[in-house]
Amino acid sequence: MTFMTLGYRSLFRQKRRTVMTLVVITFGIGSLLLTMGHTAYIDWGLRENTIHSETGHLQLFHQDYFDKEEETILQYGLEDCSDLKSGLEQYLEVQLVQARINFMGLISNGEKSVAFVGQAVEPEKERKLRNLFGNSGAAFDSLIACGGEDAVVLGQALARSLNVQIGDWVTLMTSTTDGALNAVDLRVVDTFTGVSTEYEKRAITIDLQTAQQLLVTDKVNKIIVTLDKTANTDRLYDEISQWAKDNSHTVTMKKWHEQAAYYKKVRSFFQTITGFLSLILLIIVFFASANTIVMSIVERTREIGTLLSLGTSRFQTLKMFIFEGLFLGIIGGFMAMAFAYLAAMLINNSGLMMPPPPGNTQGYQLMVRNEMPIYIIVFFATVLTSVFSSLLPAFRVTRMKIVDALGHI
Amino acid sequence: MGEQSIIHMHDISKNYELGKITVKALHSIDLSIEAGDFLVIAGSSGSGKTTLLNLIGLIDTPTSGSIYFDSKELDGNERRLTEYRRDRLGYIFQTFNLIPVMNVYENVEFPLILQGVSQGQRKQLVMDVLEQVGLTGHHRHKPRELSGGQRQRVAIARAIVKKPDIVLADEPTANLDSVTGEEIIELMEKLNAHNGTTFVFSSHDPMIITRGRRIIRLHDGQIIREKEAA
Repeated sequence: MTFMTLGYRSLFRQKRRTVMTLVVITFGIGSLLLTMGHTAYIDWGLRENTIHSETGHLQLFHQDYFDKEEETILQYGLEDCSDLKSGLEQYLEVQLVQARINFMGLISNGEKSVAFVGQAVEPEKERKLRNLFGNSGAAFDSLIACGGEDAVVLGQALARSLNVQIGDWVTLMTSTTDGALNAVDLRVVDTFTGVSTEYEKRAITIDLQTAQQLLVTDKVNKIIVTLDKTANTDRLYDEISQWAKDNSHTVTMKKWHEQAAYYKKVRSFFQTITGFLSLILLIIVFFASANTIVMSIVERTREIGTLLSLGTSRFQTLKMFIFEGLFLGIIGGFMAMAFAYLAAMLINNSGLMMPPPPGNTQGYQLMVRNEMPIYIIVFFATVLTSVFSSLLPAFRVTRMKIVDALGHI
Repeated sequence: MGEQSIIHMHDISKNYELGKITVKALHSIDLSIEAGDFLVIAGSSGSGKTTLLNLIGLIDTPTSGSIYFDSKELDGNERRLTEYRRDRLGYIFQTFNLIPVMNVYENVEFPLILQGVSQGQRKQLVMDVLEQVGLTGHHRHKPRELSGGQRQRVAIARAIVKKPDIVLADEPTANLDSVTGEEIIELMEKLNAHNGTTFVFSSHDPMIITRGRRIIRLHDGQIIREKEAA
């Protein structure tokens, strides 16, 4: 019989009370795990979606792109980048290399002109980029179908604003790389929905070659490199940087998260919410555990007096209560993990849809990721919370005079 | 202080503060406990019996005066007091105070664990002492499965298993019927006679008091009479 065994047995003296505490821990910590699992899903989904629709894993720019202000469009664009692209494609981990141009101008239906923010892309590669994460990339089908020539895809809100339908013609006006004005007539082949209505009101997508003709250049803004795994980003960043230096490619490179401002904002938002919820739930667990231990200690004050009178040291007595809190935390932690795991499986198979977040146009399926690191962290937090909740009352009672403890009724 | 004294108390007083009132529980007590004593502290309720036992058992501290253990004055060092309680003293409580989550064997074994006795030795000592108190075959029972008399026998076994210098018992028969009380006193007498275990116990029961070989009578916190049996 050790103090550990004594602590464990003492936990189940008042079975009903201990079970109630375990239920509170199970649902409290289980809910925390589900919340964190859902946040992890949002984080993972948003990250991979951002990578597989916007940023790729790595982006290559002209070496002066971030240091100098462009006086004309694409002044610091990448010129004749076919060698660069084919060199990048040699890496086994590289799944896709594609170019893009970002440009701005005015779009007109003949009666009304509004400013646009355009992106010129390689449609087939853009679709493939989305396919890599399981998205359809259907928004690019219409561009692919017409070979990208004389075609434009508009944000739905922009199409509404211009009152144009698919098949209608619009005119894009922008300045060329020389600073001259140029315009092109393009047929609306499709519309798309974006992450926000504000973005949809301004966004257009055209084929890369069409954009280069409009801008009178063969330059591009950036090269997007997509890898097989996000985890390979740092290693490939180093390897490609070295390769570019060795082969005199004067480029500057950014990792995906350096170019993902929206992702970072959303992540920070969810982390704040999850952190707050975690705090509340851990406080609930703290008080539930403390309540059980305090009740247990008060009921056993005379017994503590007996143990001390038998020659048990105060530290040994304290140890017994710490073990009690430890076991409460361990059992509660395991029950919470089991509950959260099963609940997550149910939720993930339920097909439950969440409403669109503020500023967004599409809802998303409620999903929870069962991630081992989250389970481990929360489990240890539960155990620690339970142990700490037992410390103060245990410390107080083991400081009592033996004769007072023995006389306790 | 006699040469055989295990504990010697000199000019001991103990006061309790009850609000603004000071209650003098013990006043100028001088007492020596010798090895092999079978000493009864007698007195009516409130006379200071339990307080004196608590002081002898080192589970309470006097307001004034000195306590000597093996001729060494106790200085309140918590670690040393714990060692004395663990190795030199055994307690038997009026309400038995067995640990309910332990069975009989574990309750008796517990003081030996505190002393760091090996498992093999522990088993031998526990089974021997359970035989002495007549509880062979009950070692797997939980305290709640035993009668009052059996529980007190377990408490005695727990107190004597570590072979302490003194076993202190606060009204050990008070919660027992007269027949069982008599059995318990007989057991204590037997252990005192055969093993030489020193017993100090309190009682207000005249039948029990007469069994003491040395009787100290307390009244209002003072020793009014000390008598040794012939």
